[in-house]
Amino acid sequence: MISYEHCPQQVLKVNADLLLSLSVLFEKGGENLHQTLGPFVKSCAAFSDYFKLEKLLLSKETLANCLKADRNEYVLMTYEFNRLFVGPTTPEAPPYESIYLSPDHLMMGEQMLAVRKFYLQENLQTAGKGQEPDDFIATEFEFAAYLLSRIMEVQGAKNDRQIQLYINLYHEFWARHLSLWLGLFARRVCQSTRHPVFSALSEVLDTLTTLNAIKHEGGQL
Amino acid sequence: MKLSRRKFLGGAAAAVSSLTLFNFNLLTNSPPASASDPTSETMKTFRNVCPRNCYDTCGMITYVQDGILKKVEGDPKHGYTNGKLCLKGYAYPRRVYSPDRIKYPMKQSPRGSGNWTRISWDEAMDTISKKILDLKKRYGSTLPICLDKYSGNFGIVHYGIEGTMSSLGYTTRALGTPCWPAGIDAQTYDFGTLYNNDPEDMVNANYIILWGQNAAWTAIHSIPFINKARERGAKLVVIDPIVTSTASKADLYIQVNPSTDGALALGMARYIIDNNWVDWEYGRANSVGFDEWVDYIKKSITLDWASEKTGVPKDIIMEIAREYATTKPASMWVGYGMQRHVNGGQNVRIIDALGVLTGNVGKSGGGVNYGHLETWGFNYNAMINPAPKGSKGFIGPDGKEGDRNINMNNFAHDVTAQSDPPVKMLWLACRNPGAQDPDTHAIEKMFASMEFVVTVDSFFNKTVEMSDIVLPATTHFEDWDVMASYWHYWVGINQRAIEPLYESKSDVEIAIELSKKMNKLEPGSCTFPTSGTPEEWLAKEFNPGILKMLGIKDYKELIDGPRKANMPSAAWSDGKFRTPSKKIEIHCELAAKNGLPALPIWVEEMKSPVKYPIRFITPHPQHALHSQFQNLDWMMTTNPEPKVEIHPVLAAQYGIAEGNMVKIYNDLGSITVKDHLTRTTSPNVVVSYESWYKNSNFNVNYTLKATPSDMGKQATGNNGVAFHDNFVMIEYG
Repeated sequence: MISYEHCPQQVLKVNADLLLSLSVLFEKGGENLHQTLGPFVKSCAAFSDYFKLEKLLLSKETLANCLKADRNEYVLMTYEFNRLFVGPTTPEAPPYESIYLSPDHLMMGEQMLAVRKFYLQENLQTAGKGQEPDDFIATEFEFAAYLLSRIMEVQGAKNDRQIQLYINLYHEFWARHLSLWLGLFARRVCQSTRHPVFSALSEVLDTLTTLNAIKHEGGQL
Repeated sequence: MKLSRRKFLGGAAAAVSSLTLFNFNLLTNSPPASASDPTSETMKTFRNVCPRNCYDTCGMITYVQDGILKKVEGDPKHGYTNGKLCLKGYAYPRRVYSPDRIKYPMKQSPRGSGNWTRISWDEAMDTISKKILDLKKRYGSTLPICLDKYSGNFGIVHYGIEGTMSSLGYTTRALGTPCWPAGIDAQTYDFGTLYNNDPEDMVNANYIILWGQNAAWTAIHSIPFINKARERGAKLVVIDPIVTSTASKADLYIQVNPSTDGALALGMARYIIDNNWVDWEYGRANSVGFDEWVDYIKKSITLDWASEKTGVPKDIIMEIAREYATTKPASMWVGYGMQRHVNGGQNVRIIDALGVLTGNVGKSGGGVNYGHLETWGFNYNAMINPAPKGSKGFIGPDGKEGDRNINMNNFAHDVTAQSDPPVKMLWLACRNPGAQDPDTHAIEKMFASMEFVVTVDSFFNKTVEMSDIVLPATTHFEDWDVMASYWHYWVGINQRAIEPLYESKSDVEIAIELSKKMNKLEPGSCTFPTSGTPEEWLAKEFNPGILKMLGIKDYKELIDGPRKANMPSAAWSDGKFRTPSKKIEIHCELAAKNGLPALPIWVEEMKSPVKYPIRFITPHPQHALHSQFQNLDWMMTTNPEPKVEIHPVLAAQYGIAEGNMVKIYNDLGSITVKDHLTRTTSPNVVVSYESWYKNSNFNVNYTLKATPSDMGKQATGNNGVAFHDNFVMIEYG
């Protein structure tokens, strides 16, 4: 078992890059997939290669093919993105934690407030507070990526107390939030989508969830 | 698109590190104080009012913590709703926080394809503005733009929707009201306007007739007042073609043949006259044509005829006639369903006259109660904007230039019929014609013929489905407004309890954005003001008259609680009727001038055609309001699918059993729906409750012709729709 203090920066970086690319992909929406899909595919490949994830081979290939799609195909991906995540029809897979974990399956549940408290611990808040819920998947990914970046920074400074603090915070955030709903979300995407790019995306999300769970259990990132 | 990011360290990190900066995109620095105290803020309360098209217009207390609407309760300071809400009201947090809410401006390409793209408000306004300017250039006016707005939100500031149009120039407007115009005209002919007793005054009644009124579903807050009267010994009679929930609570339920309510009232009148229970003094002193009507009844009406026509046994007619005339004061509440017939207005006029005959009008505990608009005297500031200079309008029959009005109740036909210029663009707000208008096939065809359709809504419904652009509307918890009721006498303020979610905007905010864009593209092309906070817009709706009526000096006093209008509890107690003669016009020359009988005489009901012998009645649902609410999770759980109620005898005739899918059809269209066999309806009437179910194309209006009711044009611009004169055939589906 590798201790957190000695977790290779490369592990942290591939995780953070993937989380950040996912954050940007969801935040910028279907209309900007031509810009956001590339970084996601790249970070996904790095992630998959680093951890030697055979499970993601097909998804990687699918994503690489989708990246080469023509303009018309990107338009179709946009429509599908909105059908799945945005609306105006009932989104098939709303990208908000409260929908999956709150007893009522509504927006703005207790999970959203709990996430907000995590952000506040780091003196952070959502830029559009009150408008876009704090438990939006893109925001949670960004925060998780931020925590990983902090670990990298404090590792560089060899600040053991800070290293432990951020590792704990990351694990706590992942365990209390992303790990609890990301799999459910991925499953709903997988069941609902009509486009291979989102099937691949759901596979990546599912793998990310599984891998983080294993790594948390094993004590490494 | 530029993917801008903010580079900084989180606060805690900033204190310990100066290494690399993180590229934030969605998160930003929070004020230090909030980080040091991340505990929940204390619960705040706000005053809100339900703005839906409903009798009760409930006062609400909204509980907000950490900017989140936690729950809503009834406002105990509201004397009518009295601290309680209906299920719809309690379900509001589920509406606000439904994942189904429309969150952003979206564009559909092409219309009806289901291919939606998220666009910015700027792009939405740019696209809409350019289309308006294009139409204006091509046709020389803004008349090709048609507004259809009605009752999705009855807030006074929401009349800014009409203001949006008037600020663009003269446009085409859907004029009228689908719900209640025949009854409005009936009371306008009789009394000068519609004006009901304070519903709280029903506690003083010794006899109550709910005529086609299912208050247990549609006005639940009236029930306690009725019950108080009953505790004192008042008798409750319910007259309805359907054994409703209200009927099940009555002392006497009378199942009347649909559309024959006037015949029942005439039969009662005959028996009252025969027994000299007439209040001759009141009738002769306060009305014109009183004796003329009495003579008509003596000559033309018999109890046998009334019984045969209505299906009500003669002894029952005699019983309620005697009790109504002799147990004073006696209150009658006339529901909106019973006027949705080709003789609906006339039936209301007959019932009005019955109230006059017995001297029950103008009395506490009495009245022929239908509705009122006495407390609606606001400024409508947001509605009134001058047309831009040089605007060209429609020259009406009076030679005046203005908007071109078309019939809201035959919308598909009237939009299509316009040619000079044709209608090319629709703007829909607070309105869902795709679900609510008659002849849905015609609506679909008309929408398909448009160049451009803009809909403002909170949820994806049939109308949004047929739109090019949908703009996300705020809920009433995210906006400032003021609400009056068309039933009770209370007025309440609606505070902004939570910030608008996602990118939703109110109708006035949308108008402001549109005006900015229009004037940028073509200076002077839109007169809608481009400034003012939502609360400032609210403040402009008040005037000295309304403040005096409410007994306040400033609208802000409404934040302390809703106010009841300073009006007598009995409508018309001053005897000052608003007719041309200043008296109740039993004989009404204005009605005669409009081609209607001058007297409240019997007018035949619509007969069922041989091919379609079954009447199809489509009343309001229990836990929804037209196409609102039924899509919410609670409602979908308790009432997951539409049903048609069929009498077992009728079902047997067609080989239909409980739970079968049944096809209901006529020349216009068909629907197929699961049945429920019940004796709550009669053997010649099938019943299905109009509503919009989530992810369902169920719509009773596929079978409904745009048949006009007899009245409505005088006071509301157009006759109503004879919703309940719909005839069909059924078969095992």
